[in-house]
Amino acid sequence: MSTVVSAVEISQLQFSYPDKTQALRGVNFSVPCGSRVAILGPNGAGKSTLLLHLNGIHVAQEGRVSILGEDVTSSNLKWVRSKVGVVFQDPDDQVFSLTVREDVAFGPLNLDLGRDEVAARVEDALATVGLAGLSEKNPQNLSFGQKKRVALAGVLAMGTEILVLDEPLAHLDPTGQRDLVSTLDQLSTAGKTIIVASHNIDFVAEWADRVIIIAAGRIIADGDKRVLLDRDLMEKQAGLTRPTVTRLFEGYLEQPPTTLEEARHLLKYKFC
Amino acid sequence: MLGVLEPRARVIAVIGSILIIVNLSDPRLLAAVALFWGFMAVTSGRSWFEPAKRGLVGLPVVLVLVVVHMLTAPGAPGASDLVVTLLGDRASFSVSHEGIVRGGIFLLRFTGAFLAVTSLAAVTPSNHLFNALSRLGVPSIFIVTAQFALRYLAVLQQEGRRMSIARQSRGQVRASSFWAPGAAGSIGQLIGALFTRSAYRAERVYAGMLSRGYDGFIRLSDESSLSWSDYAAAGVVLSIHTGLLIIELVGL
Repeated sequence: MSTVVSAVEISQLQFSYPDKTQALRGVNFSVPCGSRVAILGPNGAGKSTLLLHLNGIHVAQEGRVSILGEDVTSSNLKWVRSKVGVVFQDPDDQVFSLTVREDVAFGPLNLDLGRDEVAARVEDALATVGLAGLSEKNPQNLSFGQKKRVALAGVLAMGTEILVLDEPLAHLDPTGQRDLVSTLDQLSTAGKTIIVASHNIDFVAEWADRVIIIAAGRIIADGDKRVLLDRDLMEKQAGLTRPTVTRLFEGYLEQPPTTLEEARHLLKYKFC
Repeated sequence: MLGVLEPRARVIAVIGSILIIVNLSDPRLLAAVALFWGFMAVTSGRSWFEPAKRGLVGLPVVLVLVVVHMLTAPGAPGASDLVVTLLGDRASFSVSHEGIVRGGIFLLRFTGAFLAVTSLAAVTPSNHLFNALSRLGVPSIFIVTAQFALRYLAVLQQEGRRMSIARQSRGQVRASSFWAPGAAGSIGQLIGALFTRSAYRAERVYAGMLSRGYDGFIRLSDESSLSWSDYAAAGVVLSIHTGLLIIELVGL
């Protein structure tokens, strides 16, 4: 009998910072391979702390984190980091080389790949994020959005099966956001498991197949997009808001839409 | 000229030369070494000026050490020797001929070593240097520490700029001098905050490096291999210095 291995499995995860702040209090969830998962929560909920467990930057103090069936321990971190790529919220924390090419090559070089393989991966990654013409530029001279794309390219070049992004749309202009979402769609279609931490509800509603809501270090909801409709959960418990399109149709429909597509459908068939 | 060598060959040539320089005592030979490395520095082109400018930050310390050498060298003061009198007649120091020679030797050694190091820095980006040191077998603890220090300096600079902008945006005006009332306290607070912020930021950058598989070893996509010409060139540089040392020891 074959068992399906989850991309990520977290069991009873607890974590406290050295100043005794308990950031995670018994988190449990599992992510199947190929999923598009969004982790929602207000500031200070523990989203970033949780994400840093997925590639072993934080190692579980209590509980278990496993990646593709292997528990994350301090002895297999190199393997874990070859499977899970994390894109940080602030690209200045991730981009540090003198040229874009060198920065993107940093990850694949650490995987001990051959020179030609590294060069090919760098070219592919830069093409995927639309920065092919900027490979010799100093990343510090790029715009914020471009730096963010360099950070993403640096992770893509590692060819990880699981991609984790912390607030990917933060501080990006609308064009930048559209481009990034389009890139994420491409990667998801290619079979990657993508986990995004965000408090951009409209993006989550449009993009994610599954939503996990975390507040004060605990998971308070885990399901499909319909969890976003629960006003009490979203506004009182999670300190968030519901999708704009949901709030627009509230009061007119028992089950308001969560996405623009659903809203257009309703407008076409129900109201016209 | 140093730039045509493979990075490991450059490091071996420079470090070997410096080890010999600090053992030379003849001012004429030290001057010859300084001329040699001056030539290397000039052939490095404009890229030499940046590390040289940064290195000169340490010049005041070097000058103090030169003076200390001059004042502490044993030697009988004579009528023609320099006598330095400070604070009226309450303190006086005599500088003998031997003291001046000793101070001069120290300065020449510094000059030779400074020119050698800055020539290396001019033609060797830091990641190439760390890669070369790793491949030469330097323990990774030293390399990781040096990388951290370098990274920390860059972060310090960026954070300092951000803090300065934030302060000026909220109406801070620079004090007229360090000795103005409150200036020293304000500067101390700024430095403390700067180091704290930079430490946190450096930790995040380090986490970013770890996330991409960093294990203390800097790998390069254009990693080079040593050729016979590299060995030969490094050998020539070291031979020149060794030859000078032999000349001094033998007393030619």
